Amino acid sequence: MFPGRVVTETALGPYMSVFACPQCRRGLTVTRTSVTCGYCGREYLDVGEGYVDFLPAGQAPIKVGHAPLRLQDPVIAARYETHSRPSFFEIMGGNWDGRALTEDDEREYLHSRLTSVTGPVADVACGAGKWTRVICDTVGTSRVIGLDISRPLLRQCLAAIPGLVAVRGSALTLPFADCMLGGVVIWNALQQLPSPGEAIAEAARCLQPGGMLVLLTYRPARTELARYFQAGHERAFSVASFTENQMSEYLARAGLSGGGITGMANFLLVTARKPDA
Amino acid sequence: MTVPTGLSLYALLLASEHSWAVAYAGRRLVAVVTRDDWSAAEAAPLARTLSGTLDQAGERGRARIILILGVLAEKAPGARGAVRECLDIYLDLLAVASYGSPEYLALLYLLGHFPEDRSRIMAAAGKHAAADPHGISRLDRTLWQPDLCDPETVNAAGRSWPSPAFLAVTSEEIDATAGARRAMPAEQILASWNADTAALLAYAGGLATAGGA
Repeated sequence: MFPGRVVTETALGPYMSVFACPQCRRGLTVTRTSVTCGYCGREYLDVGEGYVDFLPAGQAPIKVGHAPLRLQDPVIAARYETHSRPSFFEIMGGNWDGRALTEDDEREYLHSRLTSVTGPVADVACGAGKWTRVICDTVGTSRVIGLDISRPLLRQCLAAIPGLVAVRGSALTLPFADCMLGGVVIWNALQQLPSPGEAIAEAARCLQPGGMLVLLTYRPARTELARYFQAGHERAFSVASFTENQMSEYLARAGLSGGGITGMANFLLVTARKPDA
Repeated sequence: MTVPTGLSLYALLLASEHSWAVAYAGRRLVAVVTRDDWSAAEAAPLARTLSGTLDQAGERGRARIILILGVLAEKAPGARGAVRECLDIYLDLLAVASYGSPEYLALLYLLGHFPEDRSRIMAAAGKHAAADPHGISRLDRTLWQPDLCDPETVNAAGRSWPSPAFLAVTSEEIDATAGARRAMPAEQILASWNADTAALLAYAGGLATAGGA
């Protein structure tokens, strides 16, 4: 859909104070087809598909295995929202009847937590954009930056939300400057990151004082059999679930407070705030 | 080796006519066999005791027994043969099981562990294909032994979960990605295939658990 589309100057330009080199965290200089770090000299190309790639080959700290392969497969990416995600909710979230957490519940949670946020909001692991759309509807598309590691999903996200700024990047080395974001959303993604605690710390680094982290992930199932099968799924897909204590520790280590950790069935819904300076 | 008294008693209790006894024994057995550090040496005799109670148990108890037998076949290599000894019984049960019942869902999970018996299992399961295309296609895929020289295996790896029928990958999509698939290392294809199989079994087991087995 975007062959040859060059967005760097026009779309990224207004956000240049928000972005930073993911390697050295210094400021970037924008050109017509790339952004360049003024300090370390690394260049990040506009790949002509509507996004800047902050993960050049060899710099991606990604997991290997089944799940990452699936995310790069256009056949699976095309079915992510309609097929994979609902089934993942069933086995990981225990949402077999679809009622423990409905899509309306998700929308309501995101909307209620983000309404009062000021400043740019990063949707980390934005996927195909279904939930990025909810964030855009809440705070306005011009304030949202989508980020994902999967090229097929980024293409879908950009096609779904005209005007969205999205970049390819890693949740562990976000291409944002310190204290520049009003909100970070990691919706249904923390479980597949190689270092979840580091991802939360990295989100906290980018939040401005008073900024909010909002995330959805999973806790271990409470009954032995359900946990046995959930754990089997975790091994197959290289994903994780987190106890509430683990989540509290991640948040505390990242310097985030006021954490509201709730959730029905095996879901964990988390809201935490970076304290005012 | 004999089964420890406690586990034997729980196994026999699963055939009780009292629902509270079935629920209690099921919980206790599950707590033991799903433990990571459970001694696999106890698994084979337990599997035989459990199989032996199938004809006395009620529907709820049978569903729980079948599910536990599946767990034993999956996590205790020494028990897999003992569980498989009663394949004829499982196939007879599948022939009369009601689509969607706890027992039916548990049987689909259990039978997915015996690819060497694929033709017999699919012959018995075929009668449910119209009512349950997703469940039967999931079972069929778990029983499919990969052949890395076969393009069908190469193209299906990583594209089966939660069920091939649900994903419904088209021939146009396969053609469009065939080049990238051929470029993937064989070990990557095999790893993805095996991960799919494990995930499909986990999904089938989770579905049976949620369905009341």
